[in-house]
Amino acid sequence: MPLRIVLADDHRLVRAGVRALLEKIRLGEVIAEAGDGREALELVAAHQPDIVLLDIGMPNLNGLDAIDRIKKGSPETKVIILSMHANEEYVVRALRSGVSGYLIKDSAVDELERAIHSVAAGQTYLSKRISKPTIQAYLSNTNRIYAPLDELTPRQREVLQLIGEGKNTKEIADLLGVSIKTVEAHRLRLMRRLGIHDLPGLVRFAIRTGLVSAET
Amino acid sequence: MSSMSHVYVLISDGHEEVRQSAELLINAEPDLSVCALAASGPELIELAKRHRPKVIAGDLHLPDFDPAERIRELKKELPAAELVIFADERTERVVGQLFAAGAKSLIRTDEAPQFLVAAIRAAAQGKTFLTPTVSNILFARFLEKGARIDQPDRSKLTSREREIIELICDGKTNKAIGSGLEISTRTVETHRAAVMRKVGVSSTAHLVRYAIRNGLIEA
Repeated sequence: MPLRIVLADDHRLVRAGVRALLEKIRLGEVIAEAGDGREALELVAAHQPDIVLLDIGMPNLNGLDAIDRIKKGSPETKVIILSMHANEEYVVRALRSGVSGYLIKDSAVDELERAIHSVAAGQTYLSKRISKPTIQAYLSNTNRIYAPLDELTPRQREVLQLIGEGKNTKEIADLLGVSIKTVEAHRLRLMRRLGIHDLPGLVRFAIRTGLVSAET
Repeated sequence: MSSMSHVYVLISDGHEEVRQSAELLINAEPDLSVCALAASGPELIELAKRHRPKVIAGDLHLPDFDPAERIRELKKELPAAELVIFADERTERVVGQLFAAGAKSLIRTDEAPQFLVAAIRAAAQGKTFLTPTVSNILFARFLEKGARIDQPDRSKLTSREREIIELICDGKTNKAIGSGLEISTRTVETHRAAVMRKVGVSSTAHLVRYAIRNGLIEA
């Protein structure tokens, strides 16, 4: 039986490209496509696929913060990150959340096939572009990396991402299904925790740390 | 189509993932091939001169201000190449100008899976290709203001406006900005509103994003 794959990336063009590649290597079948992190959660929970190929930089909920919730909603699904970035902070966060694979997009053409094989066989696949000794050092607790985003709870990160995308309090409240007051409380707490006390500062911090992109 | 000769395409886009995906899509077609990938404006010129592609597709690294002027420059420098632009909200606002400057097609990247190949084939024959989105925009503008669809909607920021943007992005209140610049809070408010209108944003958060995107400030 072909592997059932869910593809999550905010660019339709990327999804079409990856789909074309998957069709060429004939390893699996894309059963659904998601354009943001929230949609990915829903589709994975609904389809319980073998594999989800997950982009990191997605609107509404980024890939890294989606991993835990994906695994909760569909424990058997293997997660392969398909990222633009080989940066260690992302790789470590992804591995700690239990992903099975981490690919860098510009080498996906060469590595996707091997990655899917390995992951389907129950192994972990890290892109050749990622320095494994560095990652191992980081994963052992003696060498923790300082990640300012780790100061925040997942919910606070989620709210910060939405603020950084330029959404207003009402929009954030609607998206998260909570009250405006709750969003304001989250924002106040995350501002205190980061020591940033104005909105422009929050937007810049979210972009600087790569939580969101300044591009639309 | 056997009457058409093979079309070589240069992909020129600032986003790695867009370049990669477009390459996969184009190379899947028997009559189209990607001859090179450019990641910046200078690379676009260099690779286009070396490979002489029939079509150049991508965001073409157009600036926010007056992207049509850049299209005119490209057409002058590379007269044999037809241009297919990957659009976003910013370039869509000036779509009429872009066509007037010589672009053959404007496609949102999320429409590209559907239309990119057709747009490239049309461009290779010197024809314009309109996606439904672009047709709708053009038609709406046509109804709005008659045929004046090529009217620019933004002019350059003044140095005072840039200064105010920087101060806003530093988290300064209108009051603080006013006393720093020795103008009234009311005047700051007026400037602020004018700046937001000019760059086409409706909130402070979006103004900050705009400033970072355009290199007015660093994140």
